[in-house]
Amino acid sequence: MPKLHIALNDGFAGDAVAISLDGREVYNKADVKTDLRISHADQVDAEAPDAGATVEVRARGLSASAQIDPAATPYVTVNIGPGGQLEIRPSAEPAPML
Amino acid sequence: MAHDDPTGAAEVLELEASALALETLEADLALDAPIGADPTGEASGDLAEEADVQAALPPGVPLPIRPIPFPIRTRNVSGRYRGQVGSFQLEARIDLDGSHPLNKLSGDFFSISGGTTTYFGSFIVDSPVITRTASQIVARGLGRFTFGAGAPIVQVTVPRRSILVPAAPATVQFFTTSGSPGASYTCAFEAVGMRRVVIETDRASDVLTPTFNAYNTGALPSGGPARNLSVVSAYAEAGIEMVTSPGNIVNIAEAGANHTWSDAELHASMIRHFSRYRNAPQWSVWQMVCQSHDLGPGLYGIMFDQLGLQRQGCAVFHQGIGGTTADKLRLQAYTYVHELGHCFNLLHSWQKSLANPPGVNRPAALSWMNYPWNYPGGAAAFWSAFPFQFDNPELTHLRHGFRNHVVMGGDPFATHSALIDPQVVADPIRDESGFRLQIEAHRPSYALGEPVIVQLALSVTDRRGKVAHPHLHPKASMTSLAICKPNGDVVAYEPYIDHLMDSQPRFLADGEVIEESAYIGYGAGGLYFDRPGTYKLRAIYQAPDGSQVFSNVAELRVRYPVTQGEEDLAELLIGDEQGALFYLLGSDSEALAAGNRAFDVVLEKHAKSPLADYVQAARGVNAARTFVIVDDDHPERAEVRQPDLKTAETLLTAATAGASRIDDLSKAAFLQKLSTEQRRAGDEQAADASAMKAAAIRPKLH
Repeated sequence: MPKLHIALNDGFAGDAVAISLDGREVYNKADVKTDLRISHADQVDAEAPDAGATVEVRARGLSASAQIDPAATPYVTVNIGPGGQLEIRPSAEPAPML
Repeated sequence: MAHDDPTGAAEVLELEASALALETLEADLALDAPIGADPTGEASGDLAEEADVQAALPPGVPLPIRPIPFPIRTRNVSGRYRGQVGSFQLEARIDLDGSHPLNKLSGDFFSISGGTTTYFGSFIVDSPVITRTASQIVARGLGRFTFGAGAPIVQVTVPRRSILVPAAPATVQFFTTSGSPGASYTCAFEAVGMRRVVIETDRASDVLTPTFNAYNTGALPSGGPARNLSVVSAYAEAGIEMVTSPGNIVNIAEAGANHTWSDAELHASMIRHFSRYRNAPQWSVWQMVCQSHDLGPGLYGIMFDQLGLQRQGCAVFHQGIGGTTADKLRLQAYTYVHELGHCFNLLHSWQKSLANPPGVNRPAALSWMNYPWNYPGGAAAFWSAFPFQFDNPELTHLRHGFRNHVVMGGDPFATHSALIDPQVVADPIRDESGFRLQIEAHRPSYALGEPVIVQLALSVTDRRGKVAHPHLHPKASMTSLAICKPNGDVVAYEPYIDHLMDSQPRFLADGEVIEESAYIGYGAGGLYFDRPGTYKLRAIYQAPDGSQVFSNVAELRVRYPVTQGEEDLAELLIGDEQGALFYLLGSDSEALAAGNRAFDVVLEKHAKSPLADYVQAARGVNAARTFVIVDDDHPERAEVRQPDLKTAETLLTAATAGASRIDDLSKAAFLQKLSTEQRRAGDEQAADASAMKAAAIRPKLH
């Protein structure tokens, strides 16, 4: 099974965050906080079916979901935007940090 | 001179000896006389004169340079200067010319006692008045100080000299606000760099690729002139003199193959291997070149030092950035300079609002501190436009920030990393955004406690029109506001509550204007206008194409209360709960009960005061809405208060009457809200009447 690499990056400020793949919870943590030095809070790897999976993220009373093809876009970043919106961004490449 | 104020009037003036000697000598020899007076270059008699002059000079003083028959450029005056008066030493930074002047002055004072020198305080003059003549540059302005300066007006005078003679000393003279002279420092020129930082670069023994040396910025498309850029020259361009100290190879063979570094290991290694490490603020920084970090190849670098006195060390990881191709060298230049930027207490471009106090986010900044892949338009767009520079607010921080806000081992990371002022958020060098943003306070002066409302207007300068975000209110996050307070402190306005708004861009044609009013008296940063004095405001709008559009600088004055009634009203209207009630346009929340009680008193005892208009408006809008309170213990049982449209209409009619203090945009918006609620309640006639009143006030809104 291919792996999805999910990174929680910008905008987390001590939030409780839950992530599920096709309804299966793969991440659930409290007090998730972005490290401003590298714009990164936490990360989780999870196995996903070849055919793709729906990633759902819940944080700060919001939820967002996206259909991800792990073969094409195995990297997923999750941000809370400046307007408080929850964003899921799939990518073929890992998002660098510095 | 007062012993506790380095700006105070001088009793003893101890001029910097070498500077004085040079000045006197120069005057005697008339070195500043026009050069090249003889166009033929005929030197008859010159040698004899030279011999006479040499005989007159003290031993060791070089012979003055002979006139040359072509125009000689004058030397730039910008740089770092140092002088002493009594027990105070001043390091002055003059930034008035050169390749990227910010037109600012700043300085740090040190107190000298015997052999001990201790930091005393800093100042900055954000926007001095500058007078340039052929013979000198004079800059004068009101400084912001870290201490209560008795003489806060700073005047710097620097004679202009040819590039063939040493730089002239600068005279830094302080004045009281009434114009009386305070201390005067004669400061010898020290260096072009505004600050001097020693850097030691160590390297782990397992790094597979060469340590970064230099990158030719013309090797790949970029937004600036081609030049060879090293870490030292990149910081030199920023006005920082980086002096390299010999580095070491850190042998990590014992750690085994494929070792990855943790932050804790990096910190321990810094204490052990950084030859200049001290647990004290100092202008020294350690950069460690490593192969891999625990977080994997995606981590290019990190400012790892967040223990004790922070920001003294950073690391870069060649697993992700190592190599010798042009793109890898570019990435190394970026990462090395970027991590050191964190050591100077710079945050990422799009996170400035997370500093304490907050700054203005600049996600479209073409800066070392942005992420190329986060740039609007993507990494390719970033690199092709990037001039390999910091942006102006960052340059101001690096060159002129108060010492402890910048120095390694000073304030903790992200504290005082993005203090802003309207001048710092300077107009871009080229404004090709195609937009014009106007900000206006709705009154030129306010009573103390009166809600401050600003009007924002966006239009296009591009006659073909532009695509724009439709919301200008700061709560929609597309517009930031900088507030310069009467004491010179500058803060970013933070909305009390951020709103997730549909910001679907829309086309803005030539001649069209998007207008919005915003109450900015209260926000997440508390009360912003709770002291009498003059405030300055500037808005920055983030356009959909990534451009930052800077507004004009608006000014408003908050008046001292004169009568007992004004003082009572100020007491009733100033407070966190009252601020929240104005922001929310009223609330039934128990948590704001004290604020509502204060509002009751305003309406009972000061109903005739013009300031009561604002309270009526907040109360009126709240009365018009359904208010639901959910009991945390019994979430299934919500308490619902139904709209009281009669009361709402009465209050809003009074609040929006012609003579009301409230601005027209807000009045129209309040009446529109009333109309919506009346329609919802089925009272079409009343709804139409309210909508017509709103349209009569601001027809453009409807």
